[in-house]
Amino acid sequence: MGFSSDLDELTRAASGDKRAASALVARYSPGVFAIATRMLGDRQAAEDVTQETFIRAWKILPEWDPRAKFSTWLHRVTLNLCYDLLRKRRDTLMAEPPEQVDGALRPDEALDQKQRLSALQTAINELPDRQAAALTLCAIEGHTNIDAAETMEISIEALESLLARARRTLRKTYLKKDAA
Amino acid sequence: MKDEHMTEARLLELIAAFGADPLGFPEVERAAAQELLHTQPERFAAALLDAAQVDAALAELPDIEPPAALTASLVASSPQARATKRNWLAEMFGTIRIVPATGALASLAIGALIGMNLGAPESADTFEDEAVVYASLGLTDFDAYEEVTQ
Repeated sequence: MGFSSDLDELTRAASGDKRAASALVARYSPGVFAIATRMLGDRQAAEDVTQETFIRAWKILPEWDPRAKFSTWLHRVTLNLCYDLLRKRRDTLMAEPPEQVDGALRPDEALDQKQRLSALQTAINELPDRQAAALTLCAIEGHTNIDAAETMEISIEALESLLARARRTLRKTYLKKDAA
Repeated sequence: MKDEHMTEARLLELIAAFGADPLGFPEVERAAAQELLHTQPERFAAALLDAAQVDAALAELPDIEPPAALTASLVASSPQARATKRNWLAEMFGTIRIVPATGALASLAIGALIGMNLGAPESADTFEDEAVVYASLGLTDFDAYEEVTQ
C-alpha cells in the first residue's frame, strides 16, 4: 500500500473516520501483533502490546508528521513496549528464579512439529532482546535491512552484526551445532 | 556502497547475517553477491549449508494472525468521529450561554449589596471641623472668612 494512501487514511482516521481506521488496522495490526508475539512468545501479552501500540498511534495522529513512515513508527513502538515488558519479566525472574528448561533440540530426539516450534520459539526468546528483534524483523517478518535498521534506530552495520550473532546463537542453542 | 566490489569476506558476512538465500541480501549488494556465488560456489558451500539450516528452522515458524476480537477492539479505540465532538462542544456552548446571564445577575446583586452597605460618605462639614479650619487661618468663623476674602 502506498505512502500517500497511508497519509490520506491517517488524516481521515484522525478526524474520526472509522473506515480509514479500520483500513489502517487491517494493514498494520498483523505485523505489529506478529512482532510482539515473536518477541514475547505469549499471545496474550502480544495482544496487550498491540492494543497499547495502536492507542498511542491514535493519540499521535492529529500531530502526525507526514514525512514519517507509519509502519516504521508502529514497529518501533511495538519493539520498545516489548523491551519494557521483557525487562520487567527478567526483573521478576531474578527475584524468583524458575526451573531451568532446556528448549534445545537433540539429534536423537524425534520431536513432533509442535515441540520443535516451541523449542525454536524458546530459543528465539532466549536471545538478547536486540538480537531477537533483528532476527524477527529481517529473517522472520521479511523486513528489509534498511527498514529494520530504521525501526530499531541502529546502523545497517549494527543490524548485520545483531543478525549474525542471533543466527550463530540459534545454531548453538537450537540446532546444537558449533558455530564456525 | 558495497555493491561494486564483492569480496569473499563480505559475501561471508552477508550469508552470516541474512542466510543462504541471496534474495534476503540487501538489494544493492545482491547482484554482485550472486555473481561471486556462481563463479566460486565451493568457497561458500560450508557457510551456505550452515545458514540454510537456520533458514529452514525459521521457515517452519507459522504465520501469526491477530484474533478478530483484537482487530475489532483496535478499531473501536480509534479517534471518535467529529460529530461526537460537536455534540460535546454544543453542550459546552449551551452552558456558556447561561453563564453570562448568571454572571450579570450576580454582578448586579453584589453591586447593590455593596452600595447598601457603604451608604453615603461621611462628611467633614461639621461645625467642629469648620472651627478647626478657620482657627488655622486665624479666623473665628465663616463670616470672618468672607470679610477677609471680600
